[in-house]
Amino acid sequence: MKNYTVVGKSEKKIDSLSLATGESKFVDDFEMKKSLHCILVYSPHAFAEIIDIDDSEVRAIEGVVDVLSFKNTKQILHTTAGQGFPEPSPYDCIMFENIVRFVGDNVAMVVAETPKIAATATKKLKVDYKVLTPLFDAERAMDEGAPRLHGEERFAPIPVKYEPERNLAAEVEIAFGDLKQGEAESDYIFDHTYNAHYGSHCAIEPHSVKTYFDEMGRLVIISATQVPFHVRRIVSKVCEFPIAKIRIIKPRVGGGFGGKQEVFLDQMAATVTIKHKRPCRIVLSRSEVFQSSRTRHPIRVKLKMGVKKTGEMTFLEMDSLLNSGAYGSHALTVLSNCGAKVLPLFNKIKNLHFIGRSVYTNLPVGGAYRGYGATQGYLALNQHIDMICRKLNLDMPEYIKENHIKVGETSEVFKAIGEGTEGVTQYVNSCGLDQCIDYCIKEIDWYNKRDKKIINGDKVRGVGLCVSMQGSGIPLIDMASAHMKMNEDGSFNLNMGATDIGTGSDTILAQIAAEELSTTLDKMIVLSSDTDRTPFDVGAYASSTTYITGRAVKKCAAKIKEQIIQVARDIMDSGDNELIVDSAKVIDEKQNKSVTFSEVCYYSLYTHNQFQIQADASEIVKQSPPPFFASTAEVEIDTKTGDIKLLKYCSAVDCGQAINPQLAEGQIEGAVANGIAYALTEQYIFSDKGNLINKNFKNYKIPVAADMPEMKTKVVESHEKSGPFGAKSVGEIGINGPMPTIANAIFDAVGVRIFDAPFTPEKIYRAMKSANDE
Amino acid sequence: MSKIKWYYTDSLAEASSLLREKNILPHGGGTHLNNIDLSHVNGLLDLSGLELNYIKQDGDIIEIGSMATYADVIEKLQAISPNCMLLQTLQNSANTPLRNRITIGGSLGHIPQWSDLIGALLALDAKVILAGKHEGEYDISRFWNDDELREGSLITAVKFKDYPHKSYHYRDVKTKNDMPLFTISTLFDMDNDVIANTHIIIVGTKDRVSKIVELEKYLTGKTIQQLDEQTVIDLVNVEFVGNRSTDNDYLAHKTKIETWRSIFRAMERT
Amino acid sequence: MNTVLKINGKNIDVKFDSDEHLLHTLRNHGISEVKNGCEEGECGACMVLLDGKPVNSCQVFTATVHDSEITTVKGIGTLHEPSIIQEAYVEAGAVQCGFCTPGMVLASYALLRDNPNPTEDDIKRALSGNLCRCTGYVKIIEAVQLAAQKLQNT
Repeated sequence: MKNYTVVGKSEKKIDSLSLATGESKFVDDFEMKKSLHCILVYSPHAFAEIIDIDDSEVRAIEGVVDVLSFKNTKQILHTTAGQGFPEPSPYDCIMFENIVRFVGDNVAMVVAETPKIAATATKKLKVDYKVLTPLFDAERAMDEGAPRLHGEERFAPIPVKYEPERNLAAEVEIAFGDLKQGEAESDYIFDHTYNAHYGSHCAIEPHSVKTYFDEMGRLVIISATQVPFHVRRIVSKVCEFPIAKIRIIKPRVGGGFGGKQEVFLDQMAATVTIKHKRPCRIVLSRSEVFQSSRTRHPIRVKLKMGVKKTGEMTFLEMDSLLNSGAYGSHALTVLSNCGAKVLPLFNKIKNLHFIGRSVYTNLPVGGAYRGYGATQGYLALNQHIDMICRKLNLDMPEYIKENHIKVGETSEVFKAIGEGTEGVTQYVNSCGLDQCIDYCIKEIDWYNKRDKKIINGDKVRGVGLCVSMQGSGIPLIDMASAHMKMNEDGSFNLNMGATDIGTGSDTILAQIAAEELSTTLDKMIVLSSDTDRTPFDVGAYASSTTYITGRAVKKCAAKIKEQIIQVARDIMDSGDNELIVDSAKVIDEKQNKSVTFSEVCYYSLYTHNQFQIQADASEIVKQSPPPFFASTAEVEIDTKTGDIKLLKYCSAVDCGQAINPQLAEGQIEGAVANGIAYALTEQYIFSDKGNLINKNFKNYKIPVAADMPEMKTKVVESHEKSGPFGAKSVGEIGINGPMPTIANAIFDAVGVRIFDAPFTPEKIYRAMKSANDE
Repeated sequence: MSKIKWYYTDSLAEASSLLREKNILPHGGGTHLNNIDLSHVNGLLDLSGLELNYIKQDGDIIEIGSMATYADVIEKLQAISPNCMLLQTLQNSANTPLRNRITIGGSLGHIPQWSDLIGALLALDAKVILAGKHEGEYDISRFWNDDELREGSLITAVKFKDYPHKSYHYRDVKTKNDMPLFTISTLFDMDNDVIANTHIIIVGTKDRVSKIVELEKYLTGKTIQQLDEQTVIDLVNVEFVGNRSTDNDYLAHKTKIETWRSIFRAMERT
Repeated sequence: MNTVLKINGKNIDVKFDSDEHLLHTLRNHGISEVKNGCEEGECGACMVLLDGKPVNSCQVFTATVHDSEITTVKGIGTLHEPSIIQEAYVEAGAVQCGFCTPGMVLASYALLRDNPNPTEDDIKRALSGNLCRCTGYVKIIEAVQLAAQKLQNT
C-alpha cells in the first residue's frame, strides 16, 4: 500500500469538537429576529380534489399573517428531487395544488408570528374536499380503470418513457443475449419474488429551513440540505425569482441519508419571505418527517435465474416494480440502480433481461435513500446465490469469488443502464472483494457454523453471507469544483460546493488537498456549501464526494503547488534546478536551499511580481469505480416464537484508498446499523385509508446502543488509479448488506426463506409453522 | 398564550380539594400530560411540594410515595430488597432519562395499555393509598377496576409486603427502549421447593390486564419437576386486539411459550 | 409566566408559556445546544441534566423546574475548555453529524460520574435514551470507554 502522510490517516474530523461542545449551528440554531413561523396543513384523504379552502377564521386570529394554498401561490410544475438539470424525475409536483394525492400531502400553510399561533390556527382552516377512490396497490396501478393520479400536463424533462395516464412514472428495460437459450441450457431455475419495504431515514435532525432578505435585498436560504446548488435552481424556478438574488447556505446538518436530497420546504419558506419581506422558519415535526417528507421506495423484485449443474449462471431475468408513492421523485433513477448497481456484479451471465417500472400510488412519496435501489435489488440477488449454492452443494464464498466481476472486466449493464441517459462503458480497475469475503468468513467462523444449525436450548443458530457493489458518483453527469487560495502562514482556504452532512467530507477533502501540497491538515481552512462563496458541486449523493470532488480538489491543489514552486524558484534563483515540495517547504537540493510555504506566500503577496496564489478546478468523471462489500451475520432463532437475535455482524468494504480509515469505518458501521434496523424492526403501517399510523419513534423502531450485535468492521484497501490517491467511495454500500445477509442466516438456522422484509418474529414463526405443516 | 394555570401546594388537603375541581389535573413530573390534548384543561397541580418522594421500609412493609420516580425506586430497592419483583420490572422500563421522570403515582394514575408497572403491583398484592374524595387504603386490583374510586382521588403511596419471592417480568419488545406489546409478570411464593402461592398476570391483552387464574391454581402446591409443559401452555388463553400491526394469534401463542419459560426464569433468579 | 432558571451555574431570567416545555424555553433564550429531534422523549437530542439527572427537556414543564440546576453540554465543557469526555468523543470518531452528540455527552457524563468503571452493558444502559442514526453506536461506546480510561488516569 502507498505511503502517504495525511491521506490514509485517521485525522480528527475538523468539526467534531465544535459539535461535541454544542457550538456548531444547525439550521434551527440561527437566530432570526421577527421571524415568521409556518405550520403545514396536510390532507386527511389519500386522494381528493380540494373544492375550496375557507381561511377566513384563520386569518381572523391575531398573529396570523398569511395562509398559503393553491389559491394564492404559483402553480409551477417541478420535481422536488435534488438532481442535476434537467432532472431525470418527472415534473409532477406543484407546491400547493387543488388536488391531494396521499394522506400527508400539502393542503395549505399557516404563517404566523409564533409557532404556537400557527399550530392552533391550523385547526380553524376549513377545507372542502371531493374524496376520490384511492389506489394503494402498486401491482394494480397500471390496470385499466385504476385511479389516475396525474394529468397530462405532467411531463418528464428528459426523453424517457413517462406515461402518467397509466400511472407509469418511469420504465427501464435492457436485454442482451438470448433468454430462451439461457433457459434451455439451465439445469435448475430459481424464480422468486422479493419485497423490500418502506423505510424512513430517521436523521435525528428534522427537515429545517430558514429564509430571509439580507441587507442587499438578496434572498438567503439556510437549509438542512444535501444539495445546495439544486436548491438554488429549483427555488428560482418555482418562485420565479432570479438565481442571482438567491444565496443558499448549508450549515451543519444533522444527518441526511438521502432524505435531505429533496427540495420541498425551501420553496415554501422562500415564497413567504419574498411575499412578506420577513424572515421565515419551517421546521418539521418528527411525524411530519415520517409521513410527508420522503421514504425509501418499496420495490417488488421478481428474480429468475438459471444455472447449470456446474454452477455456471445461464440467464437472469429481473422484473422490478417500484412503488413511487404520490409523486415520481427519483422514481427513474432508484429503479435504474436496482439493476445498474446489482446486475454487473455477476458479469458472466450472457443472457439477461431487466425490466423495471415505477408506478404512482396514493401513498407517501419515495425519494433518495442510501443504497438507492441497490439495497432492494441485493435482497433478491444474494438470496438467489444462497439458493443456488445450496442446491448445487457449492461452497458459497468460493462460488462468489469465482463468478464476480474482476479487475480488467466489464459488464454490458454498465453501458445499458444510466441515470436517465445512456450508461457508460467501464472496466473495473480495483476490486478487493475477495479480501472482504475472506475477512467476513473468518470473523464469523463460517465453516464451523454454516449448515451446522448449532442449538442453544430452544434456539438455533445460522450464518449468512452477502456481497454487493455500488458506484462512486454518476459518470458524465456529476460535476464538482474547488477553489483554493494561499495565506501568509502557509495556510490555505479550501472552498468547495461539496456538502458535508456529517459524513466528514470537509475533513477528507482537506486531507486530499494537504497531501497533494505536502502540508498538514491544520493548514486547511474549509468552507463548503455556500452558493455565493463556493463553486459548484452537485451535492452529497451517489457516493460521489470522495471520488469526484476529491479529484477536483487534488487537481486544484496541484495547480496551487505549481504556483508555489514558481514563486520559490524566483526566491531561490533556482533557474532550471529541480524543486521538490515536502513538509510545507520547497527544496532546491542542488543549491542546498529551501524556502517555507510561509516565505513563499509573503513573497508572492508583498515582495515581487505580486499575485494571489490561487487556483480552481472542476471535474467530471468518465466512470464510476465501484466499491465492493461483503458481510456475514450470525443469527439465533427461537424455534418456538420466531424471535430473532442478531449475535454478530461482520462487514468489509473495499473503498479503494481510505482517505480517513476511522471515518470510513464510521460510514460502514452507520450504514450497517441502519440496514440491520431496516431488515428487522422498521416498517410503515398504514390504515385502510392510507394513513401512516406509526409516525413516531415510539412506534417506528430504530435501535438503541443495547440492540446492536457484536460488530466487526474492516476497511479493505485497494488502489483505484482513477481515484484521488486511489480512493473510490464508501458512503452508501454498507446498507445493502443486512437484509440479504440476515435472510440467508435465517435460512441457515431454520430452513425457511423470508422473501418479504422486515424479518419480524411473526413472519419467521409463520414461515416455520408452514414448513412444519407441509 | 395558554390558559393553563399552575397550582403549587405543600398541603395534601389543599391538593385533594383542588383535584376535585373541574379540569385540574395532577402532575408528578412524568410524561402522560405530554401525550394528551390539554386544550380543555384549566389547571395543572404540581405535586412536587407534597413530599411524596420517599421509599421507606417498616418491618417487611415497603411503602413508596407516589412521587418517587422509577429511578428512585430502582436505586432504593437495589439496596433494601434486590430480589424484589418490582425492581426487575422497573429496571427495564422506558429508558434512562424517562426513568428519571416517570413516577409510580403517575403510572398508576394513567395505566397505559403497555404498562410495565401494574403486573408487578398486582402480583405483589400491593395496596394503593389515596387522599381526597376516597381517602384510604385499597387493594390495587380494586383500584384498577373501579373507575369511581379513581376519579378525584390523589394517589399518595403504594405499599406491599416484601417477602422472599421468586419472580420474573417478561416484556415483549422490538428494541430495548420499546414499549412492550405485552408483559408477563410471574411471582412465586415458595415453601422450600413447592409453589405455595403464585400470581401470573399478563398485561396488554384484550382485557388489558389478565390474571391467569386457572394456571395459578394448577401451579399451586407443585414443584417445578411436577409441571407439565403442555398443561401449562393450554391454561394460558388470552386474546389480543390489534393495535400496532399486531398478529393477534401470534401474540396469543407467544404468551403461552413465554409464560412457561417465565416460570423457569423466575426459579433461576437468585 | 416568568422565572429564573439556573443554567450551567448562571441565573437566567426566562419568560415562558404555562404549558411550555423546558426544551422550548431553553431554545427560545438562545440555549441552542439543546436540540429538538422528536418531542416524544425517545431520541434524547433534547437531553439536559436536571439536578444532575439526565432527562428529556421536551418532557419537562418549565413551570415545574423551580430551583433545579440545569446542565447543558456547555456546562460539561466548552470549545475552548473541553472536558475529557468531549475530547474522547472526538478522538474515537464518535461524532458524525453531531446532532445527537450533546445528549450523548451528557448521558456519558452522568454515567461516568456515578460509575467510573462501567461495563459495556452499563454504557449501553446509560445511553438507552439517546438515538443515533449515523454511527451505529460502535464508536460512541468506544468513546465512553476511552473517556473512562482517561478519567481514571487523571
